[in-house]
Amino acid sequence: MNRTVSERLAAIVILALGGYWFFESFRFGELSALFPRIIAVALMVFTTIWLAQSFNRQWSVQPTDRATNRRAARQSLSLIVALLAWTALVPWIGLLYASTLGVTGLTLASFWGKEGTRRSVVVALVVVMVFYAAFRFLIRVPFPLPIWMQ
Amino acid sequence: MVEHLLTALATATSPLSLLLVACGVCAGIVVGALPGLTATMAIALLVPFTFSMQPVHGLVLLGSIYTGAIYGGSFSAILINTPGTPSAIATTFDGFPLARKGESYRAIVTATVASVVGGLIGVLFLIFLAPPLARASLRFGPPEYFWLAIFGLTIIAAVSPRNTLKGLIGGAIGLLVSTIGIAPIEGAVRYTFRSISLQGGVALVPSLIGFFCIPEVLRMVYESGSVAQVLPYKRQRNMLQRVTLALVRKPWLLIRSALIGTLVGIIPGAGGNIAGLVAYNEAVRADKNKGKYGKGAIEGVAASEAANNASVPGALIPMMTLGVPGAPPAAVLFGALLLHGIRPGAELFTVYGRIAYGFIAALVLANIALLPFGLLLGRAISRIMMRLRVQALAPIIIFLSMVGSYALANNLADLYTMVGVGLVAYLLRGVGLAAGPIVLGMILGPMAEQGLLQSILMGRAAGSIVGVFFTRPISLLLIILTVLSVLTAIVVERKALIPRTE
Repeated sequence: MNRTVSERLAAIVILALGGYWFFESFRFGELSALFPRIIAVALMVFTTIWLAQSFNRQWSVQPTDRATNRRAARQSLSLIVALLAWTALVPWIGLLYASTLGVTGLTLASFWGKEGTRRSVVVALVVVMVFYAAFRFLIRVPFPLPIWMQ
Repeated sequence: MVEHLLTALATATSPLSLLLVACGVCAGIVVGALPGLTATMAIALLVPFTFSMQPVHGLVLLGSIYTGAIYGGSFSAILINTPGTPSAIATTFDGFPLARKGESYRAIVTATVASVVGGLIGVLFLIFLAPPLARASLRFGPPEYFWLAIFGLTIIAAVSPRNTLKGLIGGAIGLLVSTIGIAPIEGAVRYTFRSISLQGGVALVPSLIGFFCIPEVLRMVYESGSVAQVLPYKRQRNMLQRVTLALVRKPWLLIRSALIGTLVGIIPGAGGNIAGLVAYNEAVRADKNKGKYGKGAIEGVAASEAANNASVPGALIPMMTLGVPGAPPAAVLFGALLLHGIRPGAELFTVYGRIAYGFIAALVLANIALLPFGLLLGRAISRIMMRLRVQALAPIIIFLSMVGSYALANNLADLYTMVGVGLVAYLLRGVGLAAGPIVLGMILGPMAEQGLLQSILMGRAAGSIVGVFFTRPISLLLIILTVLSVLTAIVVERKALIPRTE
């Protein structure tokens, strides 16, 4: 998706967001609605100008290596998926186990085949354990535990 | 006062006090450097440890931690583009670009020198001008808070140098996000999507971590095919002398920033984050070469850090003289004083003069101690960062972000907020909407709304809403500053020579 299309899409989404905020404000009392209404109107005005500008301007396309772009995009996507999975696992298996899986999975998924990846996983796991212990036992933060230990 | 100062100096330079200053500053720097851990949290955690100490020694330790933590936030702001404490938001604007150029140590040294100078200037105000400044801070009412917030929003232009329109859109998004939760006056529940977690609003610190950290990690991964290391390293000799000379050639930069930090710190509720942002904006406005900001100007780092460290003694001024804390860490210190049987107020400098001035003397030493400890820790941390591959650094940063977000309130909702906001910020960055203006809107929104609504109510009671907004002296001063700030932004935008292409 090129930059111009992305900007127009983003502008439309933000315009819709502003519209929602504006119309939702009618459910509140006078003073509660005043500030969100003013800001929503301002946001819709700015975004409309942005959308209009995007029809007058085209982003110049830089020649790029498609294979490199695809690989980079795949890495970023696998990082996002790994991050979401890591977050989703925390309430089920606790922060420690989820982070162990998350660090390993995230690193391998994003950097598979790259030099030094396996050693980096070990380094990252050691650092994570040290910080976990520091927060858990020194600062006494009660991290989420696995459901079988609750 | 002189007698108290001399006694205080003797107390503060005792071996135990010096040890407490050293430990407090180091602990504070480490806490401040970790995203999610705040100065307030650090002080609150250590208050119970001070029960068995003499009151003056307890305050020495807590004051040193406060000073170190506010400074420590600059480390992660510079090295991983994530403010370790909200006070370091403005430090990311030029600190991280410096690190990306291989000049992370130069940025850290600049932050250190500026923090020392800013903190010392703030302490001078605390010693000599505390009572009149505290009385002035009481003159800040709802209209003044409203105009202060509007003035703060004009910083959007400074942090969106090439596209003010997108900065305004980002700022408006941030202001809308700040309306989520319970309305300040009527108590209406707004935009919570029936979620109990959102009734308290969107948590600021997890959002900050998400906004600045997650997009940066994703960028690291995206570019990892083309860069050997996350952050390049250039060997830098005699850095302290070079940075000091560069800053000495611009004395007004540090003095102005420290003054702004102290004055903003005095205003209850304003805090180091606003101080840093306002000082950064003024540094940009005052500089003839505005185009260098946002690309690695040490002046930007110096302005932010001088202001946020000056806000530490600034926040203590109303706390010590009137019992009104200027910032959350000062509120915790207020509690610590009460626990030791000392009531802040007029008596603090007379009946408890030895304790009050001993604490102030310790703040002087703590600021001076930032120089050796800050430089040592800064060099060590930046060297470690240089050696780490992105495969190790990315997951470590994500883990620290998760832990930091969760540890604030032991709430999983904060963790989800951090990740969700981070992913949204990554998408917005792809279309040119930067995190800075959005964060500004989120921070200033509650102040602006509460100020606006309370002023309207005052105006209705007084029979003139316009009069309430436009006839008070401090409000008029803030309006003039706002207009100047907007005009400067318009002139800069028109004179911009940088072509708008990507």
